[in-house]
Amino acid sequence: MIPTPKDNYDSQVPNPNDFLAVSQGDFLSNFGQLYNAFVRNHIALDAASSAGNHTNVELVQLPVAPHTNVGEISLYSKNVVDQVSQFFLKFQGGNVQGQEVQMTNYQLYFNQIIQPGQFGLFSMLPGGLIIYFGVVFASGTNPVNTLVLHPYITKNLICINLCLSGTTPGISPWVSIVPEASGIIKKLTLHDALPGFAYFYIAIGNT
Amino acid sequence: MTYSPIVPQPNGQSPANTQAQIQTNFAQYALKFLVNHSALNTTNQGDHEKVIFEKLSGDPGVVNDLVALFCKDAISKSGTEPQIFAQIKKFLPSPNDPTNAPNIAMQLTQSLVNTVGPNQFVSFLIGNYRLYFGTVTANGTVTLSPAPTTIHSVVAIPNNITLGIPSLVSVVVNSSNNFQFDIFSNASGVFSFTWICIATA
Repeated sequence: MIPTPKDNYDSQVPNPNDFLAVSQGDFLSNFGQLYNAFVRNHIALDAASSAGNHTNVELVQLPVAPHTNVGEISLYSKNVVDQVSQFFLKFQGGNVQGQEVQMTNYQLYFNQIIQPGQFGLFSMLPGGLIIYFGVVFASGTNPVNTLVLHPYITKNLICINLCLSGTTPGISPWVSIVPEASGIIKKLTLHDALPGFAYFYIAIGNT
Repeated sequence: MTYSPIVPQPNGQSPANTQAQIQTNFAQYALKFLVNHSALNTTNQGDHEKVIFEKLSGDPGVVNDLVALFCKDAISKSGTEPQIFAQIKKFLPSPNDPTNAPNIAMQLTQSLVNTVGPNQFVSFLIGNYRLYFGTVTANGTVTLSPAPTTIHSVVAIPNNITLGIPSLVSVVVNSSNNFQFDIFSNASGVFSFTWICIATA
């Protein structure tokens, strides 16, 4: 009897006492399943060139970091609170598992105009850090001398540096954090900023 | 022969009739599998030994809980070349961020770094940004190399600890790859400043 091909890969065929012909459907199904599974993320098995290379690598979200042995590095994705799956890396460990490093953070988008008087962008650093940078104008277009850390995800401000823009050297303002009930640091107040001047800034926070 | 996913055919065809193709399939699978993975029947079979990306023309699109790593062309002032990107699932807007931002892919790499200086070093940030940094010892200009597209921020910090007298500095961006420092101090001698610049590559 010729069996009906299965919908899933079956590693238990053919059975020891089967005639090969009896397993025809299983062979067909398994070859098809292997092909379809492999073509996800890879150049197809029957491609004329580059077969086996990756088209992309989809890292399915893991609940915890994978065990990583000495001589290995793991790349994987794991959920980050208030975000989604992000890209992680874990170094070799052994019995004492190695360091886990969050490689991506949040979602980059490129809205430079944060508020009147501030042009800003952001990026990320390994370790769940976010880096803000741009130019903030004191008074005039920014009457409250506020520097906004957008997007609002910084829980701890690690460092910030400001530098006067212009040809006249001067002191840089000092900053204080505008308290937020959520604990998220959204805004900084610039103190002793020179009215009418602009300041370059670079700030690093963790999320 | 290449791998064929459609053997042995149904309708009573015996696998014996396609024995050669079946053998080819097993062989081809093992062969293609080991292009980027530890070979079957080895200690680490199934692990990746490397990941070679073929260049995509666009983002793969991510709708599930996963991260997609892939390669596509990236444009910079230095030219167009393939780089590695990551795309995550769309999750904005969120309670703290009302921006309805799409989950565009984020460029992870650039191919230019300078870690030997001596006066100017270059690394990069995710998102096609370059991080330039170095030291200056007097008023003057800095020309970034390789040239970026746009300078976004330049911060200089006085480094004259040995003089013990505070000094002041300001920065003017003259062009997309050049800026100048202006320095003031009541002390005499050589002033040293460390600087850092972030620019779009």
